[in-house]
Amino acid sequence: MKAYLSILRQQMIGQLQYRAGFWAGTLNHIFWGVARAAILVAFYLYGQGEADITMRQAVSMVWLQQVAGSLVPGWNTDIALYTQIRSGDVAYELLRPMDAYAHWYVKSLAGRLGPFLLVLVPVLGAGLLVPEPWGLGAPASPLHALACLLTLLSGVFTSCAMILLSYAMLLDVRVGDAPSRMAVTVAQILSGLYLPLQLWPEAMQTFLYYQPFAGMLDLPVRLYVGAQPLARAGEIVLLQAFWTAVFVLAGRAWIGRSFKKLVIQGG
Amino acid sequence: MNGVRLYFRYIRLHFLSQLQYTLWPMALLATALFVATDPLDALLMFDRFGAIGEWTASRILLMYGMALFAFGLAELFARGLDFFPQLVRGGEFDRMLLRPRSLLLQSMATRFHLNRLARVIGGLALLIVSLRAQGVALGVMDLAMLALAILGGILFYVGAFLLAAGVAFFTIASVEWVNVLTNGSYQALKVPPQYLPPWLRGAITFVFPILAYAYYPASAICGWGEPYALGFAALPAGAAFFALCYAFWRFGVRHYKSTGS
Repeated sequence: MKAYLSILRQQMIGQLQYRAGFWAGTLNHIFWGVARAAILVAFYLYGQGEADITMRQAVSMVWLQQVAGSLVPGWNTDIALYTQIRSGDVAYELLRPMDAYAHWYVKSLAGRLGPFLLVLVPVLGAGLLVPEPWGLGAPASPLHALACLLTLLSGVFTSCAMILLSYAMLLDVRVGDAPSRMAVTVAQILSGLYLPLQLWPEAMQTFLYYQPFAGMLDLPVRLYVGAQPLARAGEIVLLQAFWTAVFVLAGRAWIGRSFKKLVIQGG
Repeated sequence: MNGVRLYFRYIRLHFLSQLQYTLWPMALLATALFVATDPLDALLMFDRFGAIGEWTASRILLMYGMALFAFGLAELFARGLDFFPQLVRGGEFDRMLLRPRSLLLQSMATRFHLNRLARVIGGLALLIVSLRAQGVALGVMDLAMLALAILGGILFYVGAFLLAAGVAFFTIASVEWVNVLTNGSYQALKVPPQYLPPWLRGAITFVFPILAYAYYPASAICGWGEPYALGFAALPAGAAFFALCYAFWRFGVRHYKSTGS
């Protein structure tokens, strides 16, 4: 256990050193925050239609998506593993006296949390500075903001479990990286990264609430804007825990099988 | 063999080598899925909110489709420019300087990613579908304008790539914000221009003239009220932007000091 914690610590420190990407990522996120907010504002103000969430709520959610986007699979997903598999270095993973799944899991935790911590303050700050109606609004209450943060962090576990599933797809080298990339894209879409889930068609809402990827980003963010009552925050954590367990079990089984049949490329 | 033939020879090599990878349709599909995520928010919002003023989904999709089509073609044929920082850093650019052929064409030909076809097909499909949905009948003049507009768009985007590539000469780190401008520049077309905040409208009219090759030609063809002749501004605007960016790039080449290999 100590080994995994120290790996986590080491990887996080490594991520926080990555200052070159910091400005790029931050400006990117700020641009997308403003652009997506502008699109939503245009629809709300000039369109004819109704939504369960108000314009201010939707715009705030869009900004929070930018802040917390790194927590969702795919945004800077670790491609080092793919090169490892391609070059045959993945054999080294099997030689370690460590559970490969846990090792990768801990590394991907760091890979999610590191960039998140880096852009958290700047993008949050920029969002708060952008004038109404395109800026990030205040939370429904400080308690709501705290609940959002906590559920975001518990959602990272589901996110990493999903990433490990995509790694399992990568281990089957014959099909290349396309299935893995598609799975990650689907995860991103369904986590509400491109549009808050409550703005999707009404008919899909029940499905969208219970599907595994909602808990990674959309459900926690709903707590911040008050679109989900605090009393139901526990429900979110339960959903996250359920899907994490499903993905972890599936991932371990799949990777275990793949390791038995692994073909080492390169030499 | 002159520069252009050399360029197409390179493209053909890349193309054939990627076809060897038997699952390339799947990679195309993966990229198509990724490309679809971009208009997703606008499409779902149109589904919920109906229209913005008299701007229906098909109008927006026409502009967006034109931009996507032009961007896809630019990416398909000038993909090497996206990886220009690596060329410079790795010393490959020095080798290209020694060859008595066009630097620009060589740089463009260093990469060719077949899966970028997803954007091209997506853009073209959107274009055709939205023209049909609006019931627009295209005359010969309209078709010519459309073709010129796409050409102008391609020139615009290759110019933007050159801008991003030229920055590589001056800083070792890649300046990602230029990528934001190139890849994200057509995001603003998801909203009708009249409804954008004024500072954003100003930016896309004068700084990055994407309205010139998307909005005005579309308006001319479909009759949305803008002057018809403005639709022909696409090609000159794109060419002018390209010329500026190319000049910047050549400025970088002239002041290039190799980082060694």
